[in-house]
Amino acid sequence: MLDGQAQQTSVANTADDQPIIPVDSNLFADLIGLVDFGIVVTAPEGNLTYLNPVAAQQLGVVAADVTGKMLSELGRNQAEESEWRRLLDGVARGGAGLFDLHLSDRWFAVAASTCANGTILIRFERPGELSAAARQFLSRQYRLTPAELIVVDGLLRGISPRGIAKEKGVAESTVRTQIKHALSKTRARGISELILKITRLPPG
Amino acid sequence: MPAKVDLLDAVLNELGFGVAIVDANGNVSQTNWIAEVMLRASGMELGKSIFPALVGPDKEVWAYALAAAGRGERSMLRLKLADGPTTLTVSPCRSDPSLALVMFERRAFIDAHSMGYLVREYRLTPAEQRVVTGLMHGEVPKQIAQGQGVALSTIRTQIKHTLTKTRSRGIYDLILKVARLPSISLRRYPRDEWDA
Repeated sequence: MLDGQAQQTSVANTADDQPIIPVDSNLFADLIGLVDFGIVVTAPEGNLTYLNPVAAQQLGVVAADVTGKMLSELGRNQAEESEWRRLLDGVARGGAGLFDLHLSDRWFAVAASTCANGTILIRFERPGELSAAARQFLSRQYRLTPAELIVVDGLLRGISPRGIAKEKGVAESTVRTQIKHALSKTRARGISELILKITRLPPG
Repeated sequence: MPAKVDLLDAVLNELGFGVAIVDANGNVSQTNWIAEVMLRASGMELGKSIFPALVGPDKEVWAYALAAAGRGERSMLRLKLADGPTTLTVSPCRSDPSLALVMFERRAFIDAHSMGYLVREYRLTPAEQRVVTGLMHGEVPKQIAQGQGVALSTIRTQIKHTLTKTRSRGIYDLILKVARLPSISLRRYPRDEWDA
């Protein structure tokens, strides 16, 4: 009887003290696996508990290899390790917000914040191209032609109309006409509005 | 078990767009706070179906997307809710085929967090911040000038400075940069709510 009570108490303590490991929750993994930007979840001390496929790809790691390791161990050199540590420090200081993360070959804007039990959630920038679902949606909803979709995809990757024309090997005037059609079909007043309309689309 | 649900809930609430979990009949079983606010504004409730709030062909579009999710397909659609039109993706839930995961479009690109980041990272002045806010609301330089009651040339100069500071090749490049910043929820919980 007494033993049973003691056991119960210790179980309760463990549940309170231990950070929850989200990989146990299939629904959680399903949901986080669906978003189109990288998500990294760590325990309060910085041990990686979950990376979604996009994050693993962006960081060039295999999720199973790094799970349980410290976030700083993702660093491929000392400078990168200290960048990850700086990010954790920023969150620990009560920071929730956007940070820049400089790795040797590129840099990311990341959003970091703490949620339940001190679990840290890090999100990466969104991708810059049209997703398959967005492509399908734009052709069905706004009747964009394949050529117009290519042009829109170029604009979303930050390429100028002239650059898109070069890439496609067509005249700039052709690209400008296709942009004009895409604008009127999507009822956007200009390229800015078109870009905003499309980047606003849900992760797909 | 409840602890895991809490974490799912907490993580969903940190995302800057609406997320809802629905069953095969379209009944909403769980939402994050953004989706909850959206659905409530359109007269919908947790535990109830989205169908009655839809009009005309939207009912079919929604039914089609739910059926597609049941078959393991993902779709993006646009629905007219009482609160206004919204775009959403309906995705299959691999661990539980009787559920579908719904993600809504983002409502805002520039908020306290993203602006705070731009100011810290690129040292934007208050005038430059106002220009970025205008651009991220889809305004053209002329509209920003009119809204602020200043000369167009002033706005153009402020834009030029903003582009230089953010190392953007042009206005579109700047808009893309800001729009791509990771989303973060504006709602913050008091710490002791978690510690309790």
